[in-house]
Amino acid sequence: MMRIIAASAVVLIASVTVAAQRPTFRSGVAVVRIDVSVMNGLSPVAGLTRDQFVVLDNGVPQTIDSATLENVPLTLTLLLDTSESMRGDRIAHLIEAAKTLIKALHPQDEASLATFSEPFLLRLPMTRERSPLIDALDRLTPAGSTSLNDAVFLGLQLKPATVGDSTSVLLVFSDGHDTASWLRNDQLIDATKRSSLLLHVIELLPSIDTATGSPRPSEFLASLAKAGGGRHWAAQKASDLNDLFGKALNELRARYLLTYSPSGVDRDGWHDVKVTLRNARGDITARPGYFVQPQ
Amino acid sequence: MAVAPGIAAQPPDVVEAHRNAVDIYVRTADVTAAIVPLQHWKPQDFDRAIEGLIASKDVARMRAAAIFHLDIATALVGLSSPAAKQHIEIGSDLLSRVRDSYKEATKRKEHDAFRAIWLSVAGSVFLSIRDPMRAAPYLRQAHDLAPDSAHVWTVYGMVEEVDASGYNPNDWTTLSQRERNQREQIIRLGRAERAYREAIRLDSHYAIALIRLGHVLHISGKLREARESMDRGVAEAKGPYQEYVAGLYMGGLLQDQKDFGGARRSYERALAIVPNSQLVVVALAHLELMAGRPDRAQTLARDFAASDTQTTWWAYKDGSLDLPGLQWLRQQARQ
Repeated sequence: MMRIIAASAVVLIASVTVAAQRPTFRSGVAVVRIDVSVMNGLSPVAGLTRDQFVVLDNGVPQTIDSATLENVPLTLTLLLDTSESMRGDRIAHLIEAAKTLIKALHPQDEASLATFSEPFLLRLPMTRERSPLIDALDRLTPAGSTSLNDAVFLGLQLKPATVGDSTSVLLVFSDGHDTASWLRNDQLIDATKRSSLLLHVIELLPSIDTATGSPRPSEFLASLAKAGGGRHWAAQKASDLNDLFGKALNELRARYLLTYSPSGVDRDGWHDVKVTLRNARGDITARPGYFVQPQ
Repeated sequence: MAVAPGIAAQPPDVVEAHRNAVDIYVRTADVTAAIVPLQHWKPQDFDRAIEGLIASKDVARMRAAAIFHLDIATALVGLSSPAAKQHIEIGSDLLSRVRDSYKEATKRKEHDAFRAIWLSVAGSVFLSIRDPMRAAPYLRQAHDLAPDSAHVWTVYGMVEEVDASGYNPNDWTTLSQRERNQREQIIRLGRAERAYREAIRLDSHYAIALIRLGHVLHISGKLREARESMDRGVAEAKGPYQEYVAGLYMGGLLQDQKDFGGARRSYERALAIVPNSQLVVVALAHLELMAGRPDRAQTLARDFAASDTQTTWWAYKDGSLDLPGLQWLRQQARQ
């Protein structure tokens, strides 16, 4: 059964430039771009056309202008948890997984590295060079408590000033619960919905406790990924991280860009977006909506 | 790090180097400068130096050394809590030895009051990394020594408040865990509230207790009472630390009351005191985003990410490090 996991939409607010390029805009919102991933298991589903997508904006069916299988560069921020609980082989596996991902990026992709324990640190700003990223990863050492919520919030705000022809992604890794943030979970979810970044979360579960049994993935991290239009993967052990980072990158390479000009809906406020498939099968990941600031 | 009795003469280099470091600390109050000669020491070097110091029976220097090691722990705790604990144990041991050396009751009483402050700061060092389990034993000792101290009651309340934050009812994997978190959080917030109220009963002008009581009432959903206490705390706040804590928590309360203008002014007051405070930057940027100013939120985050030092905000953070207590001890060391 087809499942809508999340959604990714970017709202282009009308401006003179946009208006000149796109004559279809109306009442402030020109075009909504929805970044959609369609997977069949681990494989991307290719060859879909716009007629095979159904988009509801606040429950109102929309006419899709285009559906293209994107092949645009990635602007990827890696946000890694380096708190005390990552000591030992956990940090070593994390570094290896992140390095593998960096090496698998295409030449035109950009990446930056940020870490958090209690403090958030931007280790390296966006770059197309790989060796500084690898070097920065090699220098990571774990210490301190976990300000996950504040770090993700800061990561979302640091999105590149001009996205251009690339897809901005925040890939968050964490192994624990927040212990030191200012922001509550509900505040972060709300802020994530307002961001245009695609957000994936990889979680490393605690070691199995013989008293309580196998730990379960965090409901909150699943909700966070959903709010950011991405997926949440949980690793049972640190050695699984390499595989999950690879899956995340695979997912990022399999995206359709749907565009439509909203009609029949109010311009301002939250827009609930649902994307489904018609006459096709696949697992859809897309942002659950977008927010238009009242003028 | 316990020091065995029956002290033999120690090699003068280690004892001497440690004494010099303490002297530099007393003279300059600069822990980073003072610790330079000791930075490659192993635990056994510290053991030998402390044995030598105890053998000298120099009570004033032993107290100064206890403060020095507490200050080292404060600087180290974000990097390594076990190393911080070792330095706190050195200081604690030194203060016990000093007490044993006093024969007069008045001197012991004065020393106990001093120790109570030292212990409350020691506990708060672990609170600053959200580790209430490690903090609690020091606070219990402080409380035994000074049961009528508003200062100690306040830090005691902070242990419960920080412990409560570890039970987040919105972060759960099973329904039973959510219920448990809710229950445990309510219990701890109740204990924190009682501790702050006791501190205020002992000293009705104690700004930090008033502010923290306001915060605990805020997160417990008692907004009217929270505002009352917070207003009193803000009015009583003096000096950068108290004004920073007041700005941060009053901002949070006003934001939840949808007074965005008041919240913005409050956060900005805190940010003026500690410009690179991560907590205030996040709080203010979040406020700006919710108030429809996403560009301002992004600018705040970018400026913060580009700032190169984390040291200033570390001591302030959410106010959980007992900075006034530490500053008072530093003053004592100089005297």
